[in-house]
Amino acid sequence: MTVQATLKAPGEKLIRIRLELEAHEVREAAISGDFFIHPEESVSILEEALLGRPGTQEKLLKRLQDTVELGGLELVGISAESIASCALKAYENRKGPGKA
Amino acid sequence: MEEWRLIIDRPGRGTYNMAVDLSILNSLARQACPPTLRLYSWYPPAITIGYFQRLEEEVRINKCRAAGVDVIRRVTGGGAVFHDRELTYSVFIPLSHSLALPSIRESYGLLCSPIVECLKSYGLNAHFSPVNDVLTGGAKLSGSAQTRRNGVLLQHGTLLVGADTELMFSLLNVSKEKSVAAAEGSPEGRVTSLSALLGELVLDGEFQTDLSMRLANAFAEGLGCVFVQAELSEAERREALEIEEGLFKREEWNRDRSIRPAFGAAGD
Repeated sequence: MTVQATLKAPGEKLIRIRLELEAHEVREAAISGDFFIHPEESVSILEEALLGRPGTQEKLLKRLQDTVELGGLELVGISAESIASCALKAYENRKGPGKA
Repeated sequence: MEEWRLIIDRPGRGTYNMAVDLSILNSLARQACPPTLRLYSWYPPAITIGYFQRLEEEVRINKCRAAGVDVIRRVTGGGAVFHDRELTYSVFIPLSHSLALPSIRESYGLLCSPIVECLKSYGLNAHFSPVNDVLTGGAKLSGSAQTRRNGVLLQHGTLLVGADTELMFSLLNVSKEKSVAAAEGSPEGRVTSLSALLGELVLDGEFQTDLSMRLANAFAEGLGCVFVQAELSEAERREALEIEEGLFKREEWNRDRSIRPAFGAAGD
């Protein structure tokens, strides 16, 4: 099942996240939008951090923050917080009308 | 004062314009050229989308094809841009240079300040609006995007001269979130142009040249360098044509970035 969500946090750019779910686990994740991540290719390691079961907002946020720190990423117009919120919003959409 | 290179290009097709920016980046990475400011424009009009955007979400591809408008993914993040009547700049600085500020946010402020000064020289009340915009009267007149690759900072951006907004909005999908933001008075989604602000002045055939000179002067003053005008080198032109064929004309890049740009391949 594919689910997606869009988020525009105040002062940030637009984020869209699509998740490919199988048995409540995230098998694939894609983050898109008009933000900046430096270096650009490292968006893929943030997407990898969304795989598996998302867990709580707190746990997911920690996973993303660790990824940013370990990878030496610079996020501009986007934050670990908004990625976590948007991913959870997409994940929650598996239950309802937000299914892609 | 340090000598930088100034390149003033003829209007170019979108795929070529984006390829030249990458070839100059590679050239500077090989230390084959000095820091460079390139000024250029677009013919025919083209759309670029940000590195992280999904083409099918941002543009109405069938309408773009029908209008003969190419859609090209940039190597920089940021949003989709319809490039028609505008002045585009790209600036290339080695990361070892003191003007390549370590903080990307601060760096936008520094490199956008010449745009603000250039606009002020026309009597416009322009100001930098973080992260990457220059606004006047609450509407966006200029947007920029930066990347750092292979030891080089590249920032490119546009200064809107005139806008066929009807064509623009028929080709671009404007997100619901942005429309809402615009309706609530946020500058996001609100754009203006020099022709809307300066009127007849812009119709003058020499306007684009005048604007280019003012922008180059503002960069020289803001960055404390002197420009020596030059052409692309033969090696840069050759590499640009290769990058255009091998990257910016390829669906695999523009659709889903399943191929990667070769940054500084010749130098690695």
